[in-house]
Amino acid sequence: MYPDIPDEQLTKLRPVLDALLSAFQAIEKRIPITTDSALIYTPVSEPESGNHT
Amino acid sequence: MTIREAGAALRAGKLSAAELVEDALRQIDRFNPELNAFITVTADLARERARTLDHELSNGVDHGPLHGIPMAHKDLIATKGIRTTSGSKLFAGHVPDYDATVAQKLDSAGAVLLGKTGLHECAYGITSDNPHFGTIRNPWGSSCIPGGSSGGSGVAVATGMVFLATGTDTGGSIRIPASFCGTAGLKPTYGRVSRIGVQPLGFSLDHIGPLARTVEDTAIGFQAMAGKVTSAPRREPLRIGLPENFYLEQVDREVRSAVENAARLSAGLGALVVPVRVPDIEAANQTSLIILLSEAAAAYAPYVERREDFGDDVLALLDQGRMIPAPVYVNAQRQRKLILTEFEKLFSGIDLLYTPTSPIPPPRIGQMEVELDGAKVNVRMSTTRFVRAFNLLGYPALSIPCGFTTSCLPIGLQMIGHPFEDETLLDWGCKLEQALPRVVFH
Repeated sequence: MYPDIPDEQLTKLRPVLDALLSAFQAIEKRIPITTDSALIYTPVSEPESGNHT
Repeated sequence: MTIREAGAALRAGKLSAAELVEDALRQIDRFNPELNAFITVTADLARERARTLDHELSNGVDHGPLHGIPMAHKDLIATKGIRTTSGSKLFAGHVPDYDATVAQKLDSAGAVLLGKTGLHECAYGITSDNPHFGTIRNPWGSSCIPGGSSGGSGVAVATGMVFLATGTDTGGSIRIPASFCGTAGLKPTYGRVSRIGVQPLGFSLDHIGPLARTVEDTAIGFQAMAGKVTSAPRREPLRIGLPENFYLEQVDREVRSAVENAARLSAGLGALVVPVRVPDIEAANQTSLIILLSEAAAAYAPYVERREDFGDDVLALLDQGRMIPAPVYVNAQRQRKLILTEFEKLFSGIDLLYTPTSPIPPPRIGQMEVELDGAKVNVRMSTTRFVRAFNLLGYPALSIPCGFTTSCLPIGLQMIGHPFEDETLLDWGCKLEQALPRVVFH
């Protein structure tokens, strides 16, 4: 189900991913996650509204 | 002609659903060969359905405002017995044996399905330049993109092929084509429209909504799709936040001017327009992107061995998603909660927020970069910069046409409302569009 990503593609994508992850690390510093925010966010939803995947 | 006008003519016996279908098919014949809005046109089914609806109306059976109105579904919404491709080679021959809930609801409301509209492959991109089903072109300039991923829906509505079309929006995919094609488009509050039977991309970011030529038509479509109408709370005077930061940076001059004009007109209509400083949108965008890349990789995990069946751009995004470590995805979801708190503070002081839908007018097909404020900016990142955050937050967001560039390309205004107050957005949007120049496509 999860075959390897070919080396050529990995080489191409690695700098893009590194930039994305380092941008996210900077966000984690700007807006620190605390134990109070330990729960995973659940999007707003009305139980009766047919909010199904 | 609007849905209300067509409905009045139907009920007065001046027009039939069959005639509306023939008009729609003529527009498809006229524009589709060049613009490529449709993947599948269901002419025979539409004619048969219109005959039934005409017969019903003559016998006093009226399904409501959408009775006999031609519409189309984005081709990732399951339609029983009609091919549903998701714009992907993976599903090129896929014929569902059931209707998506939203398709059932629009069918029950009396809408006439004219076919399935084209999209960016797997709804994963904003150009609608599809390697498997061809390039979709912008009706206002055929060398430009119509936006995406619901590009075919935007084109079909703008050119009068249909009155109403469904779209999906995971990072701007309803609002961007609405803006680029000069139509209205609503990304409802997360969960207001069922996602059963709709090909997923980002499980916690996906929204289903309508595109139409006017806000009133969009509201009629939304009511049928959501299946439940909540009356908008009275908010007088309406407080509209106009951002002083972020949304004024790296924006095309004409886009900025059109949005400022819409704010002035809103004040003239009695709204209180107040300057606001928005929270960290860049953080919201990056967090949303991490979640999208991860969830899309999960959604398409069963198909990753079929690498040759994906276009290069979509394959790269799916691979990128697979490379994101799991703790980063989990922390992005936790970050989401903190960002939501910041926006709740902002919205405690306002009813709506105005921003441009896209910082730039429709770019050319194949264009990768655009120059803004003297800097070269990536087209995809720029186009999603103002819309992506509201998929993360789940807030409803409506794009309406608010002007044209000197090159006659449409400009969209994005209006964001409180969660579950989609009706406030639509009510105000109806009022504002009366004050804005009317968009008429010839």
